[in-house]
Amino acid sequence: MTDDNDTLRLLEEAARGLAQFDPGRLRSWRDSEPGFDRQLWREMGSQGWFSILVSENDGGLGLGIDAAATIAKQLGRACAPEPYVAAGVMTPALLGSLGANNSDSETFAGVLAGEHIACIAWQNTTGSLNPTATEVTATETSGRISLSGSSRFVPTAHADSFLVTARYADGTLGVQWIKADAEGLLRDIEPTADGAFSARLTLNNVPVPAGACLAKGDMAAAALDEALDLGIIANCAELLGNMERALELTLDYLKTRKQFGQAIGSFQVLQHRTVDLWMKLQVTQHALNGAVRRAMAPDVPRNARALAASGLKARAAEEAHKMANETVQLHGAIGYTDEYDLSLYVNRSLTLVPFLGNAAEHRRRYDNLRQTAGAQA
Amino acid sequence: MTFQYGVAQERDWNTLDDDEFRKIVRTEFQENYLAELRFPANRLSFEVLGPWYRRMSQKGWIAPSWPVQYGGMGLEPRKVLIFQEEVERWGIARFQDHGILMVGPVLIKWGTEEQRRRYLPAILSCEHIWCQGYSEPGSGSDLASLQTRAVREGDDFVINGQKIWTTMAHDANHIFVLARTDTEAKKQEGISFLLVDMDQPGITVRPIRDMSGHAEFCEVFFDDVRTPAENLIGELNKGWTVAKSLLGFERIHIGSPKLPEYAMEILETVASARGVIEDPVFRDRFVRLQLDVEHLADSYEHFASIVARGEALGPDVSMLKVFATEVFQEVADLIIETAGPLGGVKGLTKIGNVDINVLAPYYKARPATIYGGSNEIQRNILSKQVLGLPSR
Repeated sequence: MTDDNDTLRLLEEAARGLAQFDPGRLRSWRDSEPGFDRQLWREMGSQGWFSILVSENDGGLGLGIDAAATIAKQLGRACAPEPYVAAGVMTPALLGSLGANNSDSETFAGVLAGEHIACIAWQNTTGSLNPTATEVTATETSGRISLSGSSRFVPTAHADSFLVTARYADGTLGVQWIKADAEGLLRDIEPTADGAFSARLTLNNVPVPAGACLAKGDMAAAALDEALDLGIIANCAELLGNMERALELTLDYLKTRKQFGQAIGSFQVLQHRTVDLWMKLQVTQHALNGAVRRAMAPDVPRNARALAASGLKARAAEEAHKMANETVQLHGAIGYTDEYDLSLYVNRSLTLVPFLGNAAEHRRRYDNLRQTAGAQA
Repeated sequence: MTFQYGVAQERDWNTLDDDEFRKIVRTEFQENYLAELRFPANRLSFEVLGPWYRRMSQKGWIAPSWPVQYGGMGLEPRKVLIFQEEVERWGIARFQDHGILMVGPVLIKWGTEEQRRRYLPAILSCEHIWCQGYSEPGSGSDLASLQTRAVREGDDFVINGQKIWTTMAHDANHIFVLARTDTEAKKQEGISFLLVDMDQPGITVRPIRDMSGHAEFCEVFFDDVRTPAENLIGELNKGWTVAKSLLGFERIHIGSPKLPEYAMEILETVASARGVIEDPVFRDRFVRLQLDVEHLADSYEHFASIVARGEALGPDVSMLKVFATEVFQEVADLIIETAGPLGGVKGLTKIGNVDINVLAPYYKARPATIYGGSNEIQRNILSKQVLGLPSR
């Protein structure tokens, strides 16, 4: 747990320094594989950003989700395409709690250093938010495990390895660490709105090497739940940064653009609409702070952490989408062009909103979780 | 010997830890406040609330935020918040408490020792009930354009004019008034803050029946009303400054999540009784509001922590009022819709086997976006003071 405002401030400054908004850079990386800068990724790793949620025993920083959210928000402001939440927050969280440092310490260290990119392949082809709904099955024949089935919406198509969730014959869930070049693993690339690429994996009897099944059963399910919920919170922080910059661009425009002989920001109808956008930003920030606080409470139950994450994503996804729409409208035609930088934020938002579940999906999940909690109470 | 205001405090509350203090307050409320007066649909008269508030007065709890030397509980800001949260949580009805919230703090900040001795004890004992004479028929959102005149005649000010939307004036015996004392000056600069005894012939109070059929605010007419010159608070023509200095942390109470939270409970009861609680269309809307209320509480927490640290609130606190009141209205609207044909029934009505006043949250929520500075005025403030958008 990070209870130190100085640590957060230092991280924020570091993130602001390393990931600056650079529209030239963004335009050069988009739409061509892999869609982001691996050199910058290594620099992020060397700053320790992927080690935040990993315990000090495993060579991490042992900080909390507040620290990861601080980084994610700055990356959101920079509109950076690097897959920090997926491969820098969720993967290390999962590997850390599954003790991957013991099974493959070299690759684990590579993940934290930014040399090796690993990504969790947990979602089925329908995009269910329930990790137990995996469509990959694990079969054991004479002591050898192999995986077959499909997984989709894996955000970093060009990862070096995947943490594939699969169901075993006894019904338990397992997490297997599979190299991208494994025999029988097929990767279909799907482009995303922001100019990056996600993957649909098809597995045909992919062999699971010895030690590559990191965990099975409750331990695997609990670790996966935690990684997903922490990922959702970090994803919301990134969205928040995106919203904040989109609004700043719009405020600048409202103050400088003149029509009818005056700055359009002097028109009350636009002022009130802009205030409403600013309020959405504020409420999302307060909701993020609340969710972080709830998720970081000592010995937080799984259900409470999941509620915090889903309640927050329901807010952030809805407000971010409205922010994207309204900031375009407040600009007028220029806001719809590719040339104007707002489009970079809108397209990034269109990718970040559905990632890990959109507003409607999270309202449903939140409601189910609350009713389950109510039934248990 | 120094003058003793109110009753002595039984202890220094600030030395208690927060949970301990909260427990003491909660226990007092739960054990002694009449259940049938919790969460009333309308403002209640002092005739009904007198016994409770006189009890608070005798206990020394009538003025939580005043310093101990003036008869208050002397609570530091974070303890005041806890006290207020418990008041709201238990749904304790407000009396016409402008004496406690406004006049006392103004006298403590701006008054003379003589003015304090004259007025503070009567506020603490609930002998003086105060109302606020600010708005006028021609001066609502543009308050500084007010026209009520106060003219110095010998030892008195003579007041002529009209106030309106004066909450519970018919339940009060004193009024504090913003009146124009200089007609030549720029509009904010010719206004003075005066205390007036309402028990005199020139004052006429006419309650205004509102759309819920109740009268909570009034018109107050001033026809050669006299008040001694020593009832001028602060300097002559500096009343605007005096009045504005009160917009302190009371501003966050209007953004408390407790009323919408209470309305959500009513909504859940109505939905269960009408058999739509499992309906997916209802649930999506219900969950949206649940999250609005949850994130309102997160927003409240942000501003409360600023107050608790003893820091000043910025103009951004206006967002709390806007968010809280608009969410409250949405919950109230969904209660009516969910009630179906019962949504138009007045007063307590049976839904399933519970008695519910379906329209009460609606009537309570409806004016909330108008009073305390309308939400449009709040958006103007945010636009100019927070976002820095240009004026025309």
